[in-house]
Amino acid sequence: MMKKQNKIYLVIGIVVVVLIAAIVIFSNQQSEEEVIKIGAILPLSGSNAVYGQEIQNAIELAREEINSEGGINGKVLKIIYEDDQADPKMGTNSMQKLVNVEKVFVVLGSWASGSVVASAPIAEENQVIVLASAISPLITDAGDYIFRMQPSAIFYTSKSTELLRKEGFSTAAIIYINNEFGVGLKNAFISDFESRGGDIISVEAYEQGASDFRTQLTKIKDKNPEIVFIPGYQDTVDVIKQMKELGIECKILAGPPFESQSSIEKLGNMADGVLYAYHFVAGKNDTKSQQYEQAYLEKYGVPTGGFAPLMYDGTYIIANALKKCGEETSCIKKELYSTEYNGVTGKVTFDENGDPLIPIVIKTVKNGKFVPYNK
Amino acid sequence: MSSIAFQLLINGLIAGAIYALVASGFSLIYSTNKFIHFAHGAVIAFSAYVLYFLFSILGINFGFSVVLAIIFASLLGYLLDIAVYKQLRKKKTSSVILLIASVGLLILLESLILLLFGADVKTIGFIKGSKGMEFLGAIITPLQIFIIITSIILLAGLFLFMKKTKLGKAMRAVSDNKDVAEIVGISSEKIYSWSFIIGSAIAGIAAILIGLEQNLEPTMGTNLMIKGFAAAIIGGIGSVHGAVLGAFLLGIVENFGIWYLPSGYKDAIAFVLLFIFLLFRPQGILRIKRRAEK
Repeated sequence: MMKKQNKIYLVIGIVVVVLIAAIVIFSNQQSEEEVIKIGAILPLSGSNAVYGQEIQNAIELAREEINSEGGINGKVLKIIYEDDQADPKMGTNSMQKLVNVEKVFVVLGSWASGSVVASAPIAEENQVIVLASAISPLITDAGDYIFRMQPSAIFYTSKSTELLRKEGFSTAAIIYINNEFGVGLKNAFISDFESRGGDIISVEAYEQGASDFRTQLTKIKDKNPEIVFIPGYQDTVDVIKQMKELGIECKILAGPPFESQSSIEKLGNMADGVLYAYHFVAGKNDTKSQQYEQAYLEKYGVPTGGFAPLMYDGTYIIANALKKCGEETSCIKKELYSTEYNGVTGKVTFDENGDPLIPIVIKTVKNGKFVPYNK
Repeated sequence: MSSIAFQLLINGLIAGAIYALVASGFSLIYSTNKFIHFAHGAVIAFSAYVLYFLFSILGINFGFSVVLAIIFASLLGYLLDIAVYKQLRKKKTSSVILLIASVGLLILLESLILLLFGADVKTIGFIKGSKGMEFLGAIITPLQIFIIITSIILLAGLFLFMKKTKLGKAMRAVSDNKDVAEIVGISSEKIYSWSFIIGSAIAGIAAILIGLEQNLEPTMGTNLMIKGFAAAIIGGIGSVHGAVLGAFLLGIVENFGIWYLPSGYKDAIAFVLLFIFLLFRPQGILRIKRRAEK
């Protein structure tokens, strides 16, 4: 009796194993023939998920369009997403996984500077192309295979310090997030503002994830600056809130992540008048941008943010390179350096360090809307 | 200059009061159960999300939402004790295993929050941000005053509760010596459960005040626990009112510390203080007498 039962189990076991093997082999064959897969690292959870989600939306929009127009020479473009929560540690883990387990040869992202700086060496060593969307000046020298869609910090700060000095602001304080992103913008701002004859009178830091900035702000208040520069992530909102609570009434210059619908939702009319340098203005007068903005709104029900168009263009740029080169990374790299792509963000080219050349504008908040700043 | 010092003192009190809200409930549970209940932070986070759900999404009256959130916190704490810790205690597992289980619960609850509410930051939005009130040259908002007062009431209330009430006395008895307490007829299992219920109710109060003062994030529990735990150690682990004092000390030292030091050292200052206590005063602020008695 027992033996018979054992035999039945054995037979069932063998059938299951064979089935699984068949499925694995079958699906692998299919993927090798028809799918071309690349990776993407984005902050999809945690306090900076708003940016990651927005970028993922844009990448998916581009991917669907590319696939519906025939894919990459007939192959379907597939993207494997990894979540780094804007954390360098998780960024390197994600990169390891994409490079060593998923064996991708192109990685989009991350959005967080620290994550890109920490994970770039892994990509460089394995000759994997990275197209990031991050701001830190360190990414300029991160490697030959490392490109990015977002301009370096210096382009933002030179534009904003120029305006500030022109409008007669001469003393500034800085409260920055203590990571690659914040440090990059802080250093660029200090050297720019001082070279234009301005005075930096107070520099304070806070850790990523902090929620109490009162003592830093108390010290800044004591110095009485004319402008406070806040290169931060979503926490910029809380810094501004606590500034108002403490009665600091000076002009505010925020970092690029300030442009996010949630900033306005959380700050209300406290957001009015906040300045920031940015790489994107919605509602441009060319068909490509209008089509993109329309498509994004239709698909997701919300208007596009400013980080999404960068990677929307980025996905197309990568797709074009893949069409020419297949999976050969040295060819893709060469193709990227000679890119001249007319996209939503304008004409995109990369310099010899893989940095893009995209114009920067000063923007502000007026009646709950992000608009270009003019006096 | 003095107005800065006073503002820093106020900032320290605000920070300390928030740590105290976390540390007191945690310490109460430790005092009887004698293991480190890290999931306490997740109970706070979960209750804050429940308040957000009831008030901001369902639109239920704020006062009623607050009461429900506190009840929820209590029940959640009780449930964790019954469903996990009690089962482990039955098997006579060591407190190290319980500690690991509590870390597991912390991660589980945080993931549940992530699943139910999503990753983005939420705000309860009951109180609109505005300029605070001037008070002897320093600025403080009404909510912050309320937080400080609540934690001081907690300090006094818990002190009286432990000294005067029958349940409090029984808790102290179990905390001192479980076996002797059982001989005189105190059910230690019952006391364990009661300390979870009361400690988690305090977590519910903490959730409401912290949820109003800060934003809600799924991982907020871990962040709160780090400082709350440090405060409880400084105050003398297991001493409930010691934990509240430890929290205020931590908040004040931290905020005065970065007056002259760069502000990036804020957390470092907190942990240097923790190390100083661990090295030179491991019994915490308040544990002088008991040591002498022994």
